[in-house]
Amino acid sequence: MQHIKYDRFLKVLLLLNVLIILFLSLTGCSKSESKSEQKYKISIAQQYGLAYAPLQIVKELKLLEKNLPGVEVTWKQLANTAAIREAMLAGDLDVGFMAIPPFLIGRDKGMEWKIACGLSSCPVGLVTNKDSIESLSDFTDADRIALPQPGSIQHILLAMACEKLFKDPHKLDNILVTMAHPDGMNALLAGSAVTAHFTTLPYLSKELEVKGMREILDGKEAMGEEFTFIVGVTTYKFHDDNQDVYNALLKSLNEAVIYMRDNPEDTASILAEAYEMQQSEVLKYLTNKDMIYSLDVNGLDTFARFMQKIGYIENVPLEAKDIMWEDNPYE
Amino acid sequence: MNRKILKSKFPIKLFWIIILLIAWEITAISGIFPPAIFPSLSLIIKALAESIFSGEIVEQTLFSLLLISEGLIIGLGGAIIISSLSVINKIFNSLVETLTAIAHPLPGIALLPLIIIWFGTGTRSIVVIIIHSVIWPMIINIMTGFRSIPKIYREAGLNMGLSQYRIIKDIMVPASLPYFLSGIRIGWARSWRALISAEMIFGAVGAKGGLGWYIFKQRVFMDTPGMFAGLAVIIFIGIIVEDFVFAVVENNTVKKWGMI
Amino acid sequence: MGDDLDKMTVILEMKGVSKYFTRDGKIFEVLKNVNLEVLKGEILCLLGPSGCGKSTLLRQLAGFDERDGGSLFMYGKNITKPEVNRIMIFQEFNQLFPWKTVLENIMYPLKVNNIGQSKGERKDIASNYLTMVGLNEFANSYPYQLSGGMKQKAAIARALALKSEVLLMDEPFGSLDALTRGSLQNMLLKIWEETKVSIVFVTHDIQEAIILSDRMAIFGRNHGEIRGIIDNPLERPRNNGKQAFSEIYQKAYSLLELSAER
Repeated sequence: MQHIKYDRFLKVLLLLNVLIILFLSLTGCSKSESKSEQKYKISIAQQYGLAYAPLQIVKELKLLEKNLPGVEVTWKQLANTAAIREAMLAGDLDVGFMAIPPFLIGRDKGMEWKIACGLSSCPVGLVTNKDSIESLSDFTDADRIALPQPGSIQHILLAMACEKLFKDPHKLDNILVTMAHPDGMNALLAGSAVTAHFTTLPYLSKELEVKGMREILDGKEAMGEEFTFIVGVTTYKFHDDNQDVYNALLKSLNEAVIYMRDNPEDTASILAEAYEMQQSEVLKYLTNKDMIYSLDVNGLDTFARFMQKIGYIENVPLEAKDIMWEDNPYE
Repeated sequence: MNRKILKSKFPIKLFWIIILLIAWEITAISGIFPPAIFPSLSLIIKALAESIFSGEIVEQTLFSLLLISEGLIIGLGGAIIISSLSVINKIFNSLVETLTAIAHPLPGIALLPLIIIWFGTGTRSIVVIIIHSVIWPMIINIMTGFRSIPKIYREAGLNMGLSQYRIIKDIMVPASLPYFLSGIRIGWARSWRALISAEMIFGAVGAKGGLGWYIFKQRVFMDTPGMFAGLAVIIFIGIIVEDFVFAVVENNTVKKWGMI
Repeated sequence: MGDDLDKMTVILEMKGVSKYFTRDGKIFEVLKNVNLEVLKGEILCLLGPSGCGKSTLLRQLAGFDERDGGSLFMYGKNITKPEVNRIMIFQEFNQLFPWKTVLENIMYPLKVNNIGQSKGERKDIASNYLTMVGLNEFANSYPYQLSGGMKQKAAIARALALKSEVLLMDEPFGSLDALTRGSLQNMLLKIWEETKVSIVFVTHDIQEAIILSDRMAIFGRNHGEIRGIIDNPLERPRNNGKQAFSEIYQKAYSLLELSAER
């Protein structure tokens, strides 16, 4: 390319660099604007579903605003866990709620975040209505199992069960289909597209109400122990720079859990409105013995070891403090 | 010498690609953005090389290309048959025009929920989406092509004693080839997009997935360089198809014949 | 004398042909009860101003369009559709198929009409006629690489190769420059002498009509009627310096003037 003059080449290069940086900065990839003017600020990913109920209570009862007067709370709607993780990476989001496996994957890839608290434990199960299927070993290549996405808690639980049964965690990977919970339920009920659906409340109960549907595997059985379904995660930056807000968040979540335990009827009424469901239905799910709301975190180590073993993460955190904030101001 | 190089578009494209890559690398190395947002070329190339050597990306690309060929061929064949029938029959023509007006503006992805219910979640549904993305623009282009054929070709053909079949096959098809080719171009672009997005939304059946699925998986496992590797393959295929397949076909047909 | 007898054979006959167009609710008569005979081996020129209906008449002879009255015969047989024994040469240069070379343009209709036993034989036939019109060295060119005059020559070669008995020529040289037109006229006459093909030639140029024709049918403007038929027995080659040429010119001109006045 000798016909292009060297200095002109450099100029073009420089210009392009400036453009790239400018573009990314303007579109919000780097969040470096100062937060000094507004004292208390927090942005939280809003998520629907019974597993996230305490979060909804914090929002509806304005517990954060009560515990930290003057705080500016932003509730953001995001499509899925991957989107939440990306928003936190971009600095758009301070707090996200998700299952343990996606958190561990992010952590392993170098995301600077830690678990602040647990949120809920929830029944998960694999449902089918195909007569010939009694257990995992009855699935054939023609069958399809729907679950949210690879690397989701459902996927990891299934891999655990496969490991126990077949000594091969990837045994059923070839018949998995990625579907959001409602799509998966519709596909299972429609009867043609999928044979089985690995899902959680309320879809799990709805499916099991249908004649012929039964649960052939539940999460606890696959995992071999109790585990927390949803955890709350915050970035280093948020935790370190906003101690007051962080403390208020945990205090509020704790209050929400206590409120829910003490006032199931009121909770059901609040959630029924937010989720557009029948109050009696919500109450039924809330009082399900396997639906536990608690800020404790269980199963972290088991998940991490298993995921490392099957190659989804490289490193297992040595100590709890590597992946969890140790300050628990609510206790 | 300068002019000679400018004549062919490909080297100039390559030149700008190299410039952009260098600019990218400098930005990445500068460390303004974390690697999870802005990975360096070496990371991307490493991810690409790894998945090429493990065969993963090759398999998934072939899988995507297989699906798209299937959809494109069925869509093309269908469009040719439907357009030919519309030329012969006026009532059929009005039906096709109505159907095209209804279906053409519908993005394939918007039909996804319906397609899952009708065709399930297998590759069949993706092929259906590809066919949908290809067939309507192809029909529009072929019919426009047919309509733009000078009356004189048809009359000359009739005068030489050509049958209706020969008039369609030997006159109308080659005469509308420029429209036909631009239809395939649009069809290719639309189906490629439909395929990638369908695979990303839909997921795939287990290990068997296409390029869109590959990118989605990298996203789920937070492998940003891997995501860019997937994008690089998409760009590469786009350029190859445009500069080698389409350009070569054009140079040997409509350009050679002085039709465009 | 045999030649003269042959010329008396009627190849095309038109009896009381009428054709109407309706535009904005008004009826336009494009052909009004036209009677005409084309004799075998002659060059008949249809001469008239634009819009007089001469091209419409030619298209009728070709069998392209419907008509509103009258009948048409070739050798006494009803004409109902275009046929390969009467080939139209259009004024437009794009009557060759652009996706075929000049040679292929001529070979293709031969194949369709089962002329020639093999591809090689068809190629020979096509080459012969290309040589006849002087295009042999452009056999492998594509039409877009030819000039307008060359394209018309190729179209003529295509018609001749098909052993067409009548060439229906619709102002084929009308879009050419004067020099090219002259040379194509000469070429046409030469070919006509060789092949004795019958030609119906539409033109609005009196001089061209006189140079080419054995007879001229003169049209009136906007009336779709043949005002008169002029015999043109001049010795070929004809040139407009001669007295007899001017006389025929005056005759044709006055018929045209007459029709223009009315």
